[in-house]
Amino acid sequence: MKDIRSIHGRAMEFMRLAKEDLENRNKESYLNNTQKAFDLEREAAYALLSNFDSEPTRSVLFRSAANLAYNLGQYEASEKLIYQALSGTPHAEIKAELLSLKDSIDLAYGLEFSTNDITEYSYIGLIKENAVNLKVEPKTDRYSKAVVIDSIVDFLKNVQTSYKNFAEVLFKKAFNEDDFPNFDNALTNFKRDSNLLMVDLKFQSFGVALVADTSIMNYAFDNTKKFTDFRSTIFDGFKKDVLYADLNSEQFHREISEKYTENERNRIYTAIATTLDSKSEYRVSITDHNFKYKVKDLPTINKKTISFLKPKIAKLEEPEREFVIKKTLELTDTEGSKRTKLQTEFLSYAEFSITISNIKHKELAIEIYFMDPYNLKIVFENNSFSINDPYFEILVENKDFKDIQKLYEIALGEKYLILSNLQEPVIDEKSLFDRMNGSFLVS
Amino acid sequence: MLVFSDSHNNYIICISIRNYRDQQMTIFTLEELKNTITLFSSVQADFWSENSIVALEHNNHKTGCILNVSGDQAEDIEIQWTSTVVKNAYKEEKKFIEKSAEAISFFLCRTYTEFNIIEESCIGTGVDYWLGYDEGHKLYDPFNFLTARLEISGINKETATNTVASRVKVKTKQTAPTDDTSLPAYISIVEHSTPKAHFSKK
Repeated sequence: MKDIRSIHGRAMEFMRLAKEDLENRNKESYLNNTQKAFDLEREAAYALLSNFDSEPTRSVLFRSAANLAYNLGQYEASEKLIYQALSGTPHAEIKAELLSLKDSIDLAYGLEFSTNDITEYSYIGLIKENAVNLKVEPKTDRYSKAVVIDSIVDFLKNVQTSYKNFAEVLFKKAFNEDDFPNFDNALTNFKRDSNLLMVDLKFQSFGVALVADTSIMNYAFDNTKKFTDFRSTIFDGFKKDVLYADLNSEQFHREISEKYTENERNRIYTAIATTLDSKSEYRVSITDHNFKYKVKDLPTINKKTISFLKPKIAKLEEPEREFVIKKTLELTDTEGSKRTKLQTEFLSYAEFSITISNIKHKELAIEIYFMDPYNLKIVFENNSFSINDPYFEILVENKDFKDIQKLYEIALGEKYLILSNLQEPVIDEKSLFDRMNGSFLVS
Repeated sequence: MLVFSDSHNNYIICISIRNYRDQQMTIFTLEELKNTITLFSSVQADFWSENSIVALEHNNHKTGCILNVSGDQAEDIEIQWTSTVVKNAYKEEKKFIEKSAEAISFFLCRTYTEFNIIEESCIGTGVDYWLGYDEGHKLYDPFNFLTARLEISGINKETATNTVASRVKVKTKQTAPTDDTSLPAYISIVEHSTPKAHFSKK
C-alpha cells in the first residue's frame, strides 16, 4: 500500500525548493523542482482515483497536482487532473477553486502562454508579496466613485518620482567615489533600474499594487555584498519613510530631520507632497493585498508638514544654464567652399548615429574588437547627452559630447569584466554575457 | 488563610495567585513550535517562531505578554520566548506578520483541536494549510488524511476598517457554507498589537 501522505509530503518539499529557485531567479532549477513536485503529487492523487469517499483529500491532491502542472505550462495534464477531481464529490470550495484554475488554463490557451510566460507570471506573483496596495479615490462625488485619469496619472507619477529620488538620496548616502571604478556610471545605472512596478490592479475605484524589484532582476551591475545588502533595504525604507510614515507627527519630523538634510527632504517628498496636499483632488489609502481592507489612510498633510517636507532653500549656486543644439544648413560646392547659410535651427532634442568597431582605452584592462560595426545612437535631451543601449544593458549620460562615446566604451568593457568574473551568474547575466561574446572578441 | 497575621496572609495570598496562574494559564513557548507541529522540519518551525518573536517585539511586546483569544473558546494565553532574533533579515512587516500569524495559529490549533498541521497543498504559486489526525489517532485515515482547512489571517494593528471582527465576518461569508457540501475549516485571525486572536470552526 502506498504511503500517500509521505508522497505528498515529498512533493511539497520539492515545491518549497522550487519557490526558493523562483526567488533566486534560477528558472532551470525552478522548472526541474516543480516537475519533481508535480510527478509526486500526481502519483499521490492517482492513488486515490477510485477512493471517492476520501474527500477532501482526494480533490485537494488532484487540485494541487493540477496547479503544479499549470505552473509548468502543461495545460492538458492540468485539465485532465481537474476533471479527475471533479469526477468525485469535491466540497463546494474546492470545486470553485478547480473551476477557477480551469478558467486560468482557458485564458492561457487563448493568450497562447508558453511555459516561460507562466514562469514569468509566477515571478510577478512572487514579487507581489512585497508590494504595497494603494487605493486612489476621488474626494468628491462629482463622477460618483470613478477616479479621473488625471488623478491616477498624477498619483503614479508622483509616487514614482518620489521613489526614484529616495533611491538616489540613499545611494549617495551609502556610497562614495571609492566604491566604484566610475561613480557617475554606477549612479546612472542605479537610477535606470530604480523603478516601481505595477503588479496588480483593481478597477473598482482604482487600486494598484506597487513594488520595486530590488532583489531579483534589477541592479545587476554590481554584485558586491555591500551593494547587495544596500539594495534590499531601498523599497522597505521607502515604505517606512514615505508611504507608511505618520507625516504630520512631531516625532516623524524629528526623526526625518536627523536622517535627511533639507535638500534631501526636498528631493524625496516634493512630488508625493503634491498628492497629499489638501488641494489634491484625490485621496490615497493603503489596503491589504486583495484591496479588501483599508490598512491606513495616507494623511492630508498640513502647512507645517509641507514646509518641513519641502523646505525653502536659498539658492546660492547659479542656476544651471540651458543648452540647445544649433543646427545650420549651408549650401556649398562638393569641396565645401563657397558657403551660403540657408537656415539655422535651435534644437532641444537631437539624435546622432555613431558606429563602434574597436575599443581600446588605457583605463580598460581589455581591448574589444566588434565582429561587425556596432551602431549606436547618442541622444541630446534635457541639457545632456546620453547613450541608451538595451542590447548590452548600458545607459550613460554626460554633459560633454566628446566624452559620451568613451564613457559608453569603458562601461561596456567594465561590464564585460564583471560578467566574466561571476562565479554563479543568474540566467539573465549569462544571457547578456553570451550576447557580448557573440558580438565582439576580447584580448 | 485569614487566621494568619497580615504579613503571612500576604505571603500566602501571593503564593495562591501564582499557583492559580501556573495551573490555569496556557503558555505558548514560541521556540517549542518545532515540538508542536511535528510534521514540519525543525528549521521550518524555527523560522515561523522567529517571525513571531519579530512581530511581537515589533509591537513592543516582551516575553510573558498575554494573547487574548476569542472564538470557540475565550482564554488568555501567555506567550513566552527566550531567543534573541537578529532582525536584519526580517524587514518586511507584511511577511513577518503573516508568518507569525501562521505560527500562533498552529499553536491554537494544537490547543483547541485534535488535529495536527499536516502539510500545505499547492494553490497558485502559494500554499494553503490542512489539518488532520496524527497517525496514532483512532480516526486517522491514510486515504483521507486532510481533514479540515486552516484559514489564517494576520494583522499588525487593527484600524477602523481592518479589525479581527471584520476579517472573521468576511471569512465566514466567503464561501457561504449553507449545506453539508461545505468544507470543514477553521478560521484563525491573529492581531499583534494587542495581541489577540480569534480561533473558531467555520
